[in-house]
Amino acid sequence: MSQGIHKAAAGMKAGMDRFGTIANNLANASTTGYKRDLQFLRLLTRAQTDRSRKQSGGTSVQELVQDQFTDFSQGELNETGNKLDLAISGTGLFTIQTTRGIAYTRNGSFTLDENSYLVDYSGNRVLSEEGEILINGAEVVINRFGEVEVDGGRVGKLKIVEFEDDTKLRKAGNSLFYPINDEVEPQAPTEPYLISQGYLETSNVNLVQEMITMIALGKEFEANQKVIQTNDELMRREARELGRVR
Amino acid sequence: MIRSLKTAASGMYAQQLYVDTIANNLANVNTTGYKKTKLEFQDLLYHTIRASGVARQNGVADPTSLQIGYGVRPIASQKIFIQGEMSQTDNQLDLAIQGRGFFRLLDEHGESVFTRDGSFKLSGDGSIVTSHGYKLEPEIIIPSDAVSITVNKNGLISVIVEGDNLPIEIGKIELTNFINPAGLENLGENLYRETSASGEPLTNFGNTLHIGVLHQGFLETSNVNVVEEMVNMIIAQRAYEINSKAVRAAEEMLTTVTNLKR
Repeated sequence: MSQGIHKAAAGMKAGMDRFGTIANNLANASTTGYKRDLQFLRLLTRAQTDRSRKQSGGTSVQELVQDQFTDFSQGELNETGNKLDLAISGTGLFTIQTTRGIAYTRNGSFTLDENSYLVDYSGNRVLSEEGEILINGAEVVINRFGEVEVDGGRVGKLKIVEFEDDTKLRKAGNSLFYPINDEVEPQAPTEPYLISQGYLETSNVNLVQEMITMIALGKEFEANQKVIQTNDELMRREARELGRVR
Repeated sequence: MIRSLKTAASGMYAQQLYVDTIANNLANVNTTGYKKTKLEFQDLLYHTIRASGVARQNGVADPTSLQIGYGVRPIASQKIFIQGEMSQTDNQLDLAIQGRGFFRLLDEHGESVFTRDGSFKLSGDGSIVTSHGYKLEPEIIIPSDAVSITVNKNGLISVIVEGDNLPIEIGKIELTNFINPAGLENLGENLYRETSASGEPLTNFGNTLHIGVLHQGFLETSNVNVVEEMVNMIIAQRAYEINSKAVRAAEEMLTTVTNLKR
């Protein structure tokens, strides 16, 4: 009897987490280079090995597992005209040196720090294949391959990488992704990418889609509530009415 | 659930700031040399509920992690230095820059400030000043007996004085460029100041760099595009609304939870 109540409760708990993900996607509808998160529920079934009962089939235990993926699909490109705004078309991530190690991002809104190095808006330096990128001069041109030229002299090629398995990245805020552990290594992009100077990639959140998921989630949440209430009612009757002698 | 409420609230706050920026751009649609502002956002920290690769009770490791974000924050506002249109005024001290570059001015403290607004005037002592009275740097003094002033594309200023038919060259307006103009600090009144992010001011002394050309008798209009701002406003307003729906949905879910036990 009480199994139904626990399942519905697990569903409601998962619903709250999923709602958190949707709220975060909606909040980041205007965040440059933001990639939306998706949450799925998966039912993990495993047979209960209760030998004392000697039942032929045995019961099974079902567990609700929440899976999360980041949708790395392309956002739109928005023209800004600023020379240090970069957008990647295709797969690939910019490589950033942070105090907590190497991070990766799709947010190409860069600026310069006090030593004229190319940095993100948190002050972390952007890396090229050769190292940090010093921009000292009058004019910076970044071509479609990510090669940076200052006043006609080449200073480096932006380090654009991809990961074999995107689920091996975790978000850390400030538009940064970190590998989940040291074993996860970036690789050179297998498919051609294109760097656009003077453009930024918009968030890939689709407001309509999130809204629909939010509505469906609300109904699901209510349905689970009804299951719990019905179970509660049944148990109440069991307790009070079943044993009553009229 | 409380987290979702705050996440959605951060989204509402971000969109509100976005609308504020759009309102300021629209208010400056007729400001000479005004450059539109764009807000930059970043996502906030993530709460890791479950890391990937951690084995569950049955020994199977989950391939994915479960992380829930805390919302969004505005991180920077940047100026978009796209060229504005040229508007003809026929005033001989109205100058418009086509291309990159800024006029270099000296403020009342003797510090360099920069502007794209080329509506210059003459001060009492004959030097070329802005509407705030800031002198062009290097200073250019127009002789009091000048009858006409000519500024060519490269900034060379020549005057014709009374009783003389030949123009006399009296100075040159030097344009200044920055490697990253988006990093300039906004001072208001169409003025900018250099920062570490903009890089050093690179003044075109000696004409070694091609920066921009000057047009006399023209002013550069604001680069605010009303249609684009209206579209952005619609998007921002809808995003605000949907974030407010998320607040309401979070509240309704909380109500559902409190109604579990009747």
